[in-house]
Amino acid sequence: MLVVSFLNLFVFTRDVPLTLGVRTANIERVIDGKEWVESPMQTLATFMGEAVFPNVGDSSTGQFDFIDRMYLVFGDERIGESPIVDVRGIYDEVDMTELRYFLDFLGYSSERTCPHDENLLCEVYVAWNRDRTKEAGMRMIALRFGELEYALVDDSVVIEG
Amino acid sequence: MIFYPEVWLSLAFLYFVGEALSRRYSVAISFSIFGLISLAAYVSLFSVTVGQAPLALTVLVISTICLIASIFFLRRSLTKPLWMAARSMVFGAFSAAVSIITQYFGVAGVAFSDGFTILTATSWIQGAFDISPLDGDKGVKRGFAISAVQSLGETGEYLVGFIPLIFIAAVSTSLLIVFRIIGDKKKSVLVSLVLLAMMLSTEAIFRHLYLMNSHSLIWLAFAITIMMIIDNHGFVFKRTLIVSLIPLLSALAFARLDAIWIYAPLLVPIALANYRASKINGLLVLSPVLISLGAWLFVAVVDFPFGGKAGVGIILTLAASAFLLANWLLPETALTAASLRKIYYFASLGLLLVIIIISNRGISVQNLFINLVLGEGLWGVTIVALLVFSLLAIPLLRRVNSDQIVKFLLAAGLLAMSLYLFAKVADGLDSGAFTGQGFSRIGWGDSLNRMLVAYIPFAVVFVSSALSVGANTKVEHKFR
Repeated sequence: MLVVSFLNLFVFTRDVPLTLGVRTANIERVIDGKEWVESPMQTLATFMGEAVFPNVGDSSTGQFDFIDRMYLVFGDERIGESPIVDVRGIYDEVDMTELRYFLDFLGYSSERTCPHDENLLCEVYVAWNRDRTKEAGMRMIALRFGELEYALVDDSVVIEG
Repeated sequence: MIFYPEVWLSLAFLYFVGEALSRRYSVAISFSIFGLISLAAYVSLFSVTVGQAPLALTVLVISTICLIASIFFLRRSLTKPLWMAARSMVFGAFSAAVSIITQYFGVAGVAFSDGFTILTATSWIQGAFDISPLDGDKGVKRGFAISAVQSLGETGEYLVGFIPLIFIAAVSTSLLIVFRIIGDKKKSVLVSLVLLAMMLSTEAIFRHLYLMNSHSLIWLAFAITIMMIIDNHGFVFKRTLIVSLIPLLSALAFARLDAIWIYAPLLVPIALANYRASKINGLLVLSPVLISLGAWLFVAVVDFPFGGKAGVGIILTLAASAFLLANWLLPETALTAASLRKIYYFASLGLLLVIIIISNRGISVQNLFINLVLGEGLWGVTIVALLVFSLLAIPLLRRVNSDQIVKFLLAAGLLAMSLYLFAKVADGLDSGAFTGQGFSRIGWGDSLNRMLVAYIPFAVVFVSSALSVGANTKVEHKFR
C-alpha cells in the first residue's frame, strides 16, 4: 500500500491540487480575477468537450508537456500537429494588449514546462469566450505571446492571417 | 490577516454541546462543524427573506444559547465539565489555527465552476444582490450549505480556512473506523497510517482539502454515521445521541438535493428503527431533514426543477408519506442488519440493471476507465490497488465471521453508490446529456469522479474488515 502512495506521488498523472499565494478572499476578485488556478488539462477536459486543437505542435517544433493527455482525452482526430503560432512578430502593441486583457479576464493560468525548452517553466493560459463553451468544432489555437508565455485561446480571439 | 472570533467561538461552544450529548470527541467535532453549517444556513435563509442580519454574530448568539441549554439540561450527566470546556477551547483554537495558516500561506482550492456558483450564492446571502443565483438543476446540485457557511466571512468575502476543517474531520473520522472494526491497537495504527498515506497521496482526494464544494461534507456525514452505527451495534440510538445527529442531518439536507438521496441507505433504517422505538426519537431524525430541505428549496432555489415551489411541498409530503407507509408495511424482521443487507443488494442490482439499460454505457465505462485507471481523474493507482485488494480480500471476507453491522454497511455503500449513479443518469436524461456522455466524462471535473471521495468511509469499512482476519472483530471503544 505504501508503494501505492509512492506511485501516486511520483509516477502517475498529477496536476495542481491547490492554489498558493492567494492574497484575497474577495469573492468578486476570486471569481473574475482568476485568483485560483487550475491545470490546463483539467480546464480543457472540463470545458472543451467538443473543441478541436489544430496546432499543438510536435516534438521538433515544440509542444505542451500535457500533449499525451490531450491525445488520450480528445483523440487523434481532433488534434493537429501544426506548429504553435508565435504571435510576437505578428501582433502589434494594441493586439498584444487586447490579448493580455482577454487572458487576464477570461483565462486560467498554470506553470508548465516550456514547449520550446523543457528546462524552463512557462505560464500557460487557457482562455475562451464563455458563450462558446462546449461548442462543437470550436478551434482552440495555441499561441506563444511572450518569452515564457503561451496560451490556448478560442479562434474568435485570434487574428487570422 | 482576518480573524473570525464569532466563528471560532461558535465552533468551540458547539463542540461542548456535542460532547455533552454524545460523550464522544469525534461526534463532538462533527456536531460542531455540522452545527455551524446548519446555523449558518438557517440564519442565511432568515437574512435573505426577512432582512439582512449580522450573520456570524447571530450564529454565535444561537451557539451560546445552545451551550447554556446543554449545561442546564444535561447538568446531571456532565462529567468533568472543566475538561470538556478545555477541549472545546482547544477545538476552537485549532479551527483558528487552520484559518490563520491558510491565510499566511495564501492557500485556496483549484478554480472550478461549481465553487464559483457557490461563492456567487454567498454574495447573494451577504446582500450583494437581490436575486438568488441558485436556479433550477444547477441550483439543487450546488446546494446551500457551503454557500451559507462561507457567508460568515467578512462582507464580500468568503470564510477562509473552514473547508479544510471538514476535510480533516472526514479523514480523521474515517481512520477511526479502522480502530472500531479491527480492534487490535497496533494493527489499527498501522492500517490507519497506510490509509492516511494513500489518501493524502491521491490528488483526487487531496484536492478536497480546500475544494469549495460539499463532497467532503457528505464524506464526513457518512463517516460519522457509520461510526455511530458500529458503536451502537445497530440503528436505535439514545435520545441524546439522536439530538447530536440533528446538525448532521440538517447540514446534509442543506448540502445538495442528492446528498440526502445517497444518504438514504443509512438514514432510512435509523429513522425507522428509532421511530418504532419512540415516535419522538423518529421525528427528531426526520424533522431536520424535511424542514431543512424544504426551507432552502423553497427560499433559495429559483424555479425548482420538479414543479416549482408547489413541487417542493409535494415532494416532501410524498417523502414523509413514503416513510409512514414503510413503517406500516415493513415487519420487524425486515429491519435487522441481516435483512436490510439482502434488500440493499437486491435494490442495488435493480438500479444497476436500469442504469446499464438506459445509459450510454459504452462511453461511460470507457470514460470511467480513463479516469480511474489511466489517471485522468487524478486517482493515481489508488482505485486499481483497491480493486486488486478486493479480488484478494473477497475470499477472505467469506471466511471471516464479520459483524452483521459491518456486512450491512458494505451493502449500504453499494446502494449509496447505485443511487448516485441512478441520479446522475436521470439528470442526464432530463438535460439530454446522457446520449453523448453517459454517466461519466473524462477528467477530474466529472461529478462522479469528484463524488467518489464521499464513499471513502465505506471503502475503509471494507479494507478494515478484510484486514481484521485473525483479529478480534468485536467493537472496541478505546478511541472516542
